[in-house]
Amino acid sequence: MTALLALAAAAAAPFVFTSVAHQSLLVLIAINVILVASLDLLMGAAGLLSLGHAGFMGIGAYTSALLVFHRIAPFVLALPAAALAAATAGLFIGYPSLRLRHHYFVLVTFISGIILTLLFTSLVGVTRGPMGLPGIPFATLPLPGGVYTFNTFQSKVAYYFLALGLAAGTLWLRGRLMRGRLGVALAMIREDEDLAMAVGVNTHATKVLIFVVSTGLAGMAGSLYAHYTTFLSPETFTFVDSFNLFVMNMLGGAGTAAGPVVGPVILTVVRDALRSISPVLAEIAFGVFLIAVIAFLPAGLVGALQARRRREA
Amino acid sequence: MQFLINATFIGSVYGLVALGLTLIFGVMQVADFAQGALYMLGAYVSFYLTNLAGLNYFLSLPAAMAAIAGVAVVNHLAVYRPLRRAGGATTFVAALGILLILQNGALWAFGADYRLIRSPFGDAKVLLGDSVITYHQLFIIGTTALLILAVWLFLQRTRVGKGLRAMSQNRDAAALVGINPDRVAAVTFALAGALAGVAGALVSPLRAFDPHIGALVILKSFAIVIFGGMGSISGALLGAFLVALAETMTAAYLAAEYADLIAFVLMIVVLFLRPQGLRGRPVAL
Amino acid sequence: MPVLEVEGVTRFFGGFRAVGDLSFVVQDGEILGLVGPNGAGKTTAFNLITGFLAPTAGRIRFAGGDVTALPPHERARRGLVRTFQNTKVFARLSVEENVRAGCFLRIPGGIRRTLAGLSRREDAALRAHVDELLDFTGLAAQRRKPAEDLAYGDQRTLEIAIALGAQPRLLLLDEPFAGMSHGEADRCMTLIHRVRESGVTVVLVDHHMATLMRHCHRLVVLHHGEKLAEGAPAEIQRHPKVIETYLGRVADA
Repeated sequence: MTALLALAAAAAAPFVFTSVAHQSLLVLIAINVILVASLDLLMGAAGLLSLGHAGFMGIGAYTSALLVFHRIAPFVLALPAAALAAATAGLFIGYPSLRLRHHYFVLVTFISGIILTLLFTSLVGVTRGPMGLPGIPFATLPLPGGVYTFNTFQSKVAYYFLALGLAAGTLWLRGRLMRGRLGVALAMIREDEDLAMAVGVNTHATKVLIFVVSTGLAGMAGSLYAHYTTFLSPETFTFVDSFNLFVMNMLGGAGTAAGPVVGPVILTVVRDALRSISPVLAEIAFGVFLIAVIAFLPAGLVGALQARRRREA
Repeated sequence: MQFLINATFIGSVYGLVALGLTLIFGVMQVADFAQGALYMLGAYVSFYLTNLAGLNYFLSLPAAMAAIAGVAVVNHLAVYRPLRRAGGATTFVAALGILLILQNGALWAFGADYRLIRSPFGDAKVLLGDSVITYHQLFIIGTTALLILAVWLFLQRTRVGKGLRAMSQNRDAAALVGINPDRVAAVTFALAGALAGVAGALVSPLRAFDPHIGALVILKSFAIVIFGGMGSISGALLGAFLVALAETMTAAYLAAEYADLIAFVLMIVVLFLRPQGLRGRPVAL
Repeated sequence: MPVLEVEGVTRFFGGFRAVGDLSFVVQDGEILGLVGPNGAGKTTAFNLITGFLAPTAGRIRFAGGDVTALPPHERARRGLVRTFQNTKVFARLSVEENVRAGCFLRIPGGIRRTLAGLSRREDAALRAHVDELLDFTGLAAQRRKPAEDLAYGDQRTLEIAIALGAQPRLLLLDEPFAGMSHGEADRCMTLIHRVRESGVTVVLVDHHMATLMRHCHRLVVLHHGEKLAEGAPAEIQRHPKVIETYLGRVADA
């Protein structure tokens, strides 16, 4: 029920906040929701900390951008291709590393993120490296009347609805995955992996599965991002960005239903507000914020709220 | 031969930072990413002392060590100690937070312009066969060797140093025999901070720097520590040299862009083949 | 028909031989005790049988099939389930959710159910299984409590309930009486008897020689990783090698 209300509010938002700056923010929030929801599948559901998530977003972004730029595929195919590319990378990285103990896995994800950033920067022939990749074509949708182009320079509203739709879909998928058999397996892995194995859970296969789904969704978000900004640079997909996603997830509340929405909404807005005052101070504030959240609100805002409600009950 | 020379002096710088990292990890089980910022701050302290205060470059080195040691202790008191009970992943993230705060603080305070200190040796160099080594590079190698020796003596001969070693082996037992864990922790952080700070100060005359230099160095040092074995001093130093050598050779034979990657590739390889690192003790599965 | 056949199982850790040429059989429907002092290799043997360690040599056959190469979750799927020495439950989940987790293998899967959820009948069936287990183990009254809030004895009971959820043919219990008072151990043993009566073969590993002697049909005594003796409690009591190991040289008269 609250989900429907939230969705209605989200749909109404671009008509309430009509300035270009605000609508731009809305699109970014929607994309961040996809990213954080996908990260939460790892952190909240399975208890797997991943510090390289932005790297997978980058894979999706560059894949989609290059496919459409070089006229190899239209947007409708490039988006799923981006998700597939990121998911494949997730498979290569996840399959061996999920056999290791958890903190080694965390390290591998962190370093994978670094390596991906370095690859985006150094494969200049493909990605144009630090010079950036400009002129990415807008997203297009083949409709009965003709091809519709999401010209995000003219209007952000249509693209917002595209992103909102995918975000809602992602949240729905996440909800479904966390219920039922897979959700039980993930909770068992999160709480005690050995015990999970002892009662029949193939923990490795389950972890790889959720990792592939998570990275695939991040790749999809990357594609959305690329065709929104029409310009890509490796600077967007660094460990700082992975870090920011982590903070958003933690602040909202890992594993909670509303967390992946609350976190991105608050932090994207706060960040933007701080940045307009002073970009450097914004980053400092962010860092302080993060440490405060880890220290005082480990369950996130939604988690803390739930805990208080349980105690009063 | 030139490779070995380059590897030695680059490895020296990495080694100093890696040494601090591995000490902190061995004693506190904390992956202190903030060391990257300390490295960067060391360079800035040296810069301001020599360029603005007119201090002799050589004197700015111990000054940087002292100042950065202080910063490290503040980090410990303000962040790591209160978070002591939280998991390793949490402190790791907190460390990243500190790095970002300090890095951006430096951006705000010092600006984003590149700075450069002129080396007191100028461009003087020595020829060894057909290889070149500058006086400054020699100075770096020499100073590092001295510092490593000093650290070794500290750990072997002094009471606090022995306490540090005891704590890295068994924290509870050390506390039981009267070693003050808090004091040892503060000393460890101060020591690691001093090492990172002086590394930054040593490097500052080599090339222009800005507040972002810490990030890549700490990432590589981290990879080195894992490669060499977390908590192992010999591993950190050996790892630093090997990685520096690999970097130099990659830059020469492949492409300069890939040199930065090699440290991480080595780290991933070691994680899959021998997770405890070159010189680490096997971890229970 | 033997449920479990351990054949010539050996395990080295570097140069140290933890288990050496261990062979024994577990008969269907019995309660077998694995005894031995600390360091005798009981835990290693346990981990080898359940798949948490791979043997250096030897075979393990379960219900007629060779399981030596199978990982723990595959063995569980065939009915070989274990508990752990250090109490392992899903701490932050409720008692009910813990038992439901134990019933993992009974939850129907597939893409349709992932996207649309279980049918009402499937859901009710699952709920019935969980209720049955809660009643069987006497934990129904505490079903909503977080597992970490349970008393120690109840947590150990919960462990057994979780294991039963996997519908084992053979249940291996690792030191089930550790840290229990006599009363708690007796109650636990009563539960174990009822488990056996429901058709599950049980293997117990423990130090409590006396308890195992009283309740097990047969015992396997380990020493330095090797089988010292195997047989009914009465035989073991009189076995010269056992007496020598536990009590020193046989005294005259």
